Amino acid sequence: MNFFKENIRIAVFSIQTNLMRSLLTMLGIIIGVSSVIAIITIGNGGRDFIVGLVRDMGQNMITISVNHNRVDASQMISRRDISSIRAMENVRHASPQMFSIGSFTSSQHEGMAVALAGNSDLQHVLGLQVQSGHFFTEAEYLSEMPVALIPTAGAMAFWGHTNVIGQRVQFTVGGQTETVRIIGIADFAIAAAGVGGFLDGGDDGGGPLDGLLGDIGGPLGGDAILVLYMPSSVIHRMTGGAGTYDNLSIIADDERNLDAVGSAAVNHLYITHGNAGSGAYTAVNMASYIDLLDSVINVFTLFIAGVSAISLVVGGIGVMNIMLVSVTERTREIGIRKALGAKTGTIMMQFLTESVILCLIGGTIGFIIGVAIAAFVAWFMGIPIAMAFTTVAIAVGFSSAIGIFFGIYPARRAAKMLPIEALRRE
Amino acid sequence: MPLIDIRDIYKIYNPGENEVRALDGVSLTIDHGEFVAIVGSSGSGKSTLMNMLGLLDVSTSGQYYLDGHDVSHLSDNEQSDIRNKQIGFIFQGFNLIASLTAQANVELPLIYRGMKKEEREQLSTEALTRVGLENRAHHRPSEMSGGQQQRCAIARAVAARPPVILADEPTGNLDSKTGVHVMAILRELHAEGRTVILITHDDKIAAEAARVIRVQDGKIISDTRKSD
Repeated sequence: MNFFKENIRIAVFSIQTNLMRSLLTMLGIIIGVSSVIAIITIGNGGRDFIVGLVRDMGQNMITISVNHNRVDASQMISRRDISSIRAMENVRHASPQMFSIGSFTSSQHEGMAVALAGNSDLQHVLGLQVQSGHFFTEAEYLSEMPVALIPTAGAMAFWGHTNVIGQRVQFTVGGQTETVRIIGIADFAIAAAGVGGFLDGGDDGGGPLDGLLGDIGGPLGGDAILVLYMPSSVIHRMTGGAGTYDNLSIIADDERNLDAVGSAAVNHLYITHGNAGSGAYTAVNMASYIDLLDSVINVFTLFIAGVSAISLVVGGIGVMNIMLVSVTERTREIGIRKALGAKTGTIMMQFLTESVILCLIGGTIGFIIGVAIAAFVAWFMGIPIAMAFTTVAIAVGFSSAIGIFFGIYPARRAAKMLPIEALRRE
Repeated sequence: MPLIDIRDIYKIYNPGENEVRALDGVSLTIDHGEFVAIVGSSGSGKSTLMNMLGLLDVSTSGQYYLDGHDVSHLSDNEQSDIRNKQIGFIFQGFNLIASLTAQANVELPLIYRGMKKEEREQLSTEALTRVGLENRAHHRPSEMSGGQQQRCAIARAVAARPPVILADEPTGNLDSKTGVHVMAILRELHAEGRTVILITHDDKIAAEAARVIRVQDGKIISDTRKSD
């Protein structure tokens, strides 16, 4: 205990007397530790943010897409395919997604309109929350009822209030115009949860896509675009299409069933269309996206952290040099201490303590700077700070490990000297 | 049984054609409580002899029995232990640690002995008082005169109450008046029953001792005892 306190006192004194030199020595450690911590913290924060974003876009979602190059019109996904898939085990919802750009006029306004269309499960695959009214039913879908829901933002932009149920708009797409009745207001659920801020263009209460579409609308006409959530059967009737789809979004009951549901759906399509092996249909789920994203970001973070770790090694060599200088400078002191009864281990501990303290101070400063950089970057990019306990452990562990590793050689050299040789040195 | 018993000690540098025999077969016994002066001119080997006696250096060959124990083949750490417990060193150049106060310097050997703080403080204060430095306890060596520094070094040598005091030219860097003072302290230590071994090139200083051993070319050439 005595030795320990004594060693720390000696080390602190030695660092104080050579303050400038000690600071310059620590510089390498400071730069190394701060960059490693900043990189890891920013990397983790970025990953959490992006993964969270992707996850919120549809955790249990499988997207089946049709490869246009390998199919003819008869092999597209039909309504019957969709009802069979909806009836499959572990499938909760399934709806195609259609995206049609047209225009609209109402009693007061006219402008661009975008129809996001599907069957009655569209609400679930898009993650919509009905604010008022009701989502169109399967019966309304099957009977091609010209009804639509609009987002809060659209209601506010064109009517100035959300009391719009029963309002009618003339919707034109593909040269056909129909009167569409508004039956409700629906917004993206994740916008309500406050996670979609990154994509959400404004505080209009609309979802991420609303924000983006609003932004597109700006340069085109100065007006916002009216988004309509509609039955796709109505669009098919208006555009005279075959009534088939090139995509299908499925929501499974559990994350664990994603792969099974995906391949079951794809197999079903191959069997009904008799084109097995053609590669016409592919299923992708969010879990595989997230895994991929996660590993890409991890590799990237590790790579950059590895590069900054090199400066830690360089810093460690700096510490070793300074410790060697310190040993040489204090050879006589080592001789005196040995003459008075200091043992090899005592001398070694003295110099090891000094290099560890040097590295710990450097590590602490580096840690603070690293966190500050990470906090600034996180604030700047609008991502959360992911300060893990492991990051702190890495900083402390790394810097003391460097102190011990690079301190051992000078410390041994000091400790192994014959007292008389050390005493003779001036 | 003698306190110190060295037999046929050789210290040879550069063995071979140009070898230098710093110690050339020295045998010597010193009893408990003796006051011995080892005298010789510069290069005679007296300092090498003192380094051997103090276990600061290793001999090329020969045996060293300290208080009946063979200490010549002990490990580095065991020798540190013996230096700490048996021997108090007084060097010509004082060899105080510049960054420590007088009291901290005196406490060093006590720390290495593993003594508790209160005990250390008591012993170091006693030792400083004894050499008349109680008012300088918190001064650093740079704030003290040569004589004060040497007295501080003596306090350090005696604080742990070792049986042997090894003094290498203790007055060499001091003016004559301060030198007299230092010699008086050494006589006092001897009077207390400690074994004092004094290395000097100065016959006048050596005359203070009861036994004078002359060294030349690494050999003992005379060993005389005062018969008073």
